[in-house]
Amino acid sequence: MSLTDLTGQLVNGLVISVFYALTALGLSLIFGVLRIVNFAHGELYMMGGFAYYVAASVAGIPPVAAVLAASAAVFLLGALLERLLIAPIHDGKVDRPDEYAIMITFALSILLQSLMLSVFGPWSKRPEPIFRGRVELGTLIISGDRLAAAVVGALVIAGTILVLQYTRAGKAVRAVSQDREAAEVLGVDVRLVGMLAFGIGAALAGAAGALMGPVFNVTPTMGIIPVIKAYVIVVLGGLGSMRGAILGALILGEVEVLAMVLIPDTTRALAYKDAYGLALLVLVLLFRPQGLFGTAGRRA
Amino acid sequence: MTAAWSPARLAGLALLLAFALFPLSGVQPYWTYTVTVGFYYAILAASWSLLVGYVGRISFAHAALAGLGAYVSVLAVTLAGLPVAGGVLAGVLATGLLGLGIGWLCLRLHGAYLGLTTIAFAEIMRIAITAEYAVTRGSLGLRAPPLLPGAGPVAYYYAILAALLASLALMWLLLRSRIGLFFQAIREDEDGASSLGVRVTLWKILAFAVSSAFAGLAGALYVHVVQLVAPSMMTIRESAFILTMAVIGGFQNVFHAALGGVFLWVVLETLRDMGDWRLTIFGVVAILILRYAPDGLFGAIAERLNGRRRGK
Amino acid sequence: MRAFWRGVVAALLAASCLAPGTASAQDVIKIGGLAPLSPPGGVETGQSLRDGMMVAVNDLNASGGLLGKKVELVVEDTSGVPDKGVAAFERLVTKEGVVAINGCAHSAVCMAIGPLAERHNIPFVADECWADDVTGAQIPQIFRLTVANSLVYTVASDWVKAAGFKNIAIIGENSDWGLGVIDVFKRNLEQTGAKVTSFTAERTVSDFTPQLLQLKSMSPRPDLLIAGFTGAGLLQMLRQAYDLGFAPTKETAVFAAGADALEPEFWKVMGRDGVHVIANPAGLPGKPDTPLSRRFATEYEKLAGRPANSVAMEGYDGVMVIAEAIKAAGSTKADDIAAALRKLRWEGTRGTVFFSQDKSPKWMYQQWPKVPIFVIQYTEPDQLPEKAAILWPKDQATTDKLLMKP
Repeated sequence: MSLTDLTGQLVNGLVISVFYALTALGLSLIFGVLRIVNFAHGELYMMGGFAYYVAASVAGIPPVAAVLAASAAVFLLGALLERLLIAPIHDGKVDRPDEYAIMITFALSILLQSLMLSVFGPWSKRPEPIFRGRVELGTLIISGDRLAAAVVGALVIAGTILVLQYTRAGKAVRAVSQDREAAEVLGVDVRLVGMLAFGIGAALAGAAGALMGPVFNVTPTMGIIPVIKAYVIVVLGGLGSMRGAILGALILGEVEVLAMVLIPDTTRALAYKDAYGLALLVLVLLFRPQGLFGTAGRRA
Repeated sequence: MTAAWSPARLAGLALLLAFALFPLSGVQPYWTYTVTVGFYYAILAASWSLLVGYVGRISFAHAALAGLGAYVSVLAVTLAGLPVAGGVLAGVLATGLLGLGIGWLCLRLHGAYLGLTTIAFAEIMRIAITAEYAVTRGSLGLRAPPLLPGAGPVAYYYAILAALLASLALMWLLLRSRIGLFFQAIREDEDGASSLGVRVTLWKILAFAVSSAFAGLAGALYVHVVQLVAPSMMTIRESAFILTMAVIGGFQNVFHAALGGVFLWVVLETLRDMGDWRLTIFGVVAILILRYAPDGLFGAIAERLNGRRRGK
Repeated sequence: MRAFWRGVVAALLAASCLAPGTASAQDVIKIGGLAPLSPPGGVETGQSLRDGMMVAVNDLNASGGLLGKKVELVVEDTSGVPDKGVAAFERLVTKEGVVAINGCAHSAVCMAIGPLAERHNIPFVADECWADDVTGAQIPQIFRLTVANSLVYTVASDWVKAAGFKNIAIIGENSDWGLGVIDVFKRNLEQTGAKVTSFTAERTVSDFTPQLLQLKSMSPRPDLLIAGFTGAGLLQMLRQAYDLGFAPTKETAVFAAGADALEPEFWKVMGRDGVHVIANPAGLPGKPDTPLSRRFATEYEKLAGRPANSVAMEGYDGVMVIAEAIKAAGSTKADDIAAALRKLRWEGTRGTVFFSQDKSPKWMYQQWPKVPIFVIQYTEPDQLPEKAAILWPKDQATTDKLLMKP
């Protein structure tokens, strides 16, 4: 394999990593603040894809604005769902909160999938991408649709990190994520922060879905595989860790691409594509449950 | 004495009678067949509730385990030449052993982490079965020999009903034995139970193994009824479906969960014309039940029945 | 005890809700249709199949129905998945009471329902499922109105040989059909010294980029990519192959084996970039140019709002051969219909249909051996398959060279 070819594979892995990171970041943020794994995260991603489809193909909004509109819509949906279903956990209104949180988000995922199936049908929607065609960088040729989406995605990630780092709301989110009780004592409105965190987490997934929708088609089941990747990434990077989510995404993106290319049995390499990350997840949970970058002491 | 003949139990007996008479009431064979498939989901939902409702351990691998039981059974019959009953037994053993293994590996994991790990195991199983075309014929599925060669839908109905009742009886015996108490102790307070001398590790692994074996039984029987096994029965969505059934029926009680399985499946078939709106509605119902009536539909009905009686 | 009786009443009520209103089918003849109308099936293929069947039923009823009764078409969705197909077949037979069934698309589904057709003794005319074993199982109730893999890809391989390709890459879905594509091409091409590299993947895969990049970097670079996929996956692969500068290019041609390359959706996804894609229809509208095929094309477009293609023609022919058999037999009994199908000679939209009774090769049994097979190449955006350049068979070719991008 020549250097150009290897670069081609690595760039493709990098591009995919951006979408993985977007999804995983939201999952990690939600876990950090609310201490729940959102099993409906893939469906929020999917809702982002459909919101983009409605905005771009039905309402005719230009692509980049449609991505922002879709993210905003999923933010609102996320905030609403948090208030209705997740907040009661922290208000002490449900028995057996651990199991409730898992089951309620899992039930939510099947609800959203079925709802979109009912409204839009199972057929692939193909909204216009931000850019269509080949992009040639020297001898390297990259698909324009996913490259443009990855650039926007990277900007969204950078923006989110800046917001978390420097705004009042962002600081409150980080404070609650570090120590809920202490933040509450210091006068942070933890209920509001919880809603905000779920909203932002949802919006990140929604943005990923809106960006990927035109590349891989928008369907009600489009979130199933990306969310499993996000699970792998957050476990790899340590649940609740932003940096871990981004590093984990980079690792998974490249591991998948290289595993697929380097495995000698070509007839099966593609078929097992989605299993590599899962095997990684099991291994990490069994042997290093705090994640590769997390600190020990996490109770898994 | 009220416990033995409470109104809810009488209603249960009445339901049992209705199920026993159902195929003889002149319905189309199609509906006999549909309820038979409903019994498959009933075993699955009950086995899931055994683990989640009684021991407090979550699993999203039950659909995949059912699929595994089905594949093992079919392959045992077609490759190793076992009779169908032997295949089913092999399927139960294989899933039980795998459940034992998963239970042992995941001992330290709780809640969402356990959920994630079971999703990973389930997906790896599904992907491997799909990819190993030479043995499993991938997503096309394998043809399975019939459970009762030459028999009609009514015979299948009674066979699977008998399997369901036997499974429920076994689960009930297990749960009302000392082991059931240990399960409950682990669910309420694992560390506390351990300090009281309950062998937490043993019972946690056992619960996973038993629940998995029942899922394998359901899958192995089902596949010899529909005579086809495909990886599409192993998806996470299918597991979500089992969760919805158990939750709507009442996941804290194996009987209620089982009723949820039959009930939901039959209603789904009855409302076919509504398409995917059916699952949308069930999703909403499941969420409302989780939030406001965690005992489920049949749990609430049983309470109503018994409550009224007490009021008199 | 009151609670007990209340329970009994409730349970019986529930049971009686299930007891169906047995609408007796005395005044209609029901014909069943199976089609993939939802993913992962090839949805556009399924719609063409279904709409072709609907045109046929309209035709039948306009000319007075069958045996003095109206004809009703009941179409069930298979999703292109065997277990759903089996459930759909059971419903058609045990709930709807159809006398015969046609359709399918997706060989895996066709093969899964074969034994059911035998058990329920229901004649089944397979449309658009190509795996050899569909008829190779030699089930007396199964007839096939479309090609067998061995039939079509032997022809396609002849073209590949004649066109002089030396390094062929196949990405096939792991289905009976997709693996058959790989198998037949390998068998036919490797003996000529051509190099054949194959990959298989799950039908739901949506990103082929790593594999396409790998193929592109192989040396020597493949000069032909065979896309052995159906449904959304096929269109994704073609899109990505173009975007990566792999195929179609001067160096590498692309052969889309799945029927989805014949649907308008193909142009929606590919736009201008779909030009030079090679496709492989089992029949082209207007060939042969008979009054029936012309009338079908017009009526189909009126009903479906899109132009007819080979799959739609199969759906039409599928219902029609069943109707012809019922007419010839004067009965709707399964054995009579099957016997009449075996003796049938009927002028359809794609030529004279008859079902071979040869048992060798195995797949020839109850197969229509004369299905027209074409290799076409698009030369303009938004082109209909019948307007594309015909590369093969040689006697009908409209061009003798492969058109590549400059």
